[in-house]
Amino acid sequence: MRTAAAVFLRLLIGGLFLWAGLSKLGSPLQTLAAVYSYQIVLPDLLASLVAAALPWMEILLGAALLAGIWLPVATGWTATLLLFFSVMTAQAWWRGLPMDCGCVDLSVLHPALAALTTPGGATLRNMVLLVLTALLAALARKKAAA
Amino acid sequence: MVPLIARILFFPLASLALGAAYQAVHPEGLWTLRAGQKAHDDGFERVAWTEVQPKISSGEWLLVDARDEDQFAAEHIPGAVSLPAASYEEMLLFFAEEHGREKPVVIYCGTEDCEMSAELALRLRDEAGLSRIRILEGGILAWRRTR
Repeated sequence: MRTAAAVFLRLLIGGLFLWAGLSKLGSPLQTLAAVYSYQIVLPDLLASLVAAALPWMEILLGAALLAGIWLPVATGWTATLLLFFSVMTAQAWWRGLPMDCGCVDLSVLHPALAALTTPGGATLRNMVLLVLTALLAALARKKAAA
Repeated sequence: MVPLIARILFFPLASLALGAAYQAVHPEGLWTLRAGQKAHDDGFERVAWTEVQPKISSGEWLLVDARDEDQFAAEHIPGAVSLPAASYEEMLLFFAEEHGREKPVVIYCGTEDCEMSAELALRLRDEAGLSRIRILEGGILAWRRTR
């Protein structure tokens, strides 16, 4: 049961991250615009580095989770990213910023999921994924200890 | 057996390396362009709405709508002034006198690929002597997406 749950979570979170990273690769300027849209004071160079590295971080983490390799480190970094995303989208939501979160658009799965790209929806989604990632980390640790 | 510290550092360092390499080869890569802006063959930089909005709100930049007057009357970005791309030269000169030739202007039109913005940008530069001209990336659609 635990193994099945862990596999499900790996596929879900890993798949989402891989999809998110790959969807950003074709439009580096849009990714950069999304970074700026959070209206956090950032030097241009740092914003560019974030926009350049973020898609690849998502791809590498997604691939690691899907393949089930280096799980403790991969889940740790995934949780760190999700925590960071949650803080960023939450502050945008709180400030009422009219912005596109730069998140993967899930409305291709169901039109109602388009709400998850708003600051509020994205914050909720990131926090749910953070909880699921923590659960995956716990399951992976239990399996390693067994 | 890869040490733990190496595994931890692998993800951010590999991401930075891959990101830098990818941006260097991508035709619209960030390293070939000024961050947040885009140079086209027409020589005018494109700027994202997220960069334009605060500058329009503060009055630092002037937003110009290049579409015809009927389209402007139906809908326009708040704060924009109408200056159709097909305006007589006298209108462009009057615009330059009224707003000054040094004030940065950002021009938009109706869609992602419409040519009126570039057309007006060229005319303002060549006929009216303006020098600080940019074009809003995505046109009025970029503003609509944020509503």
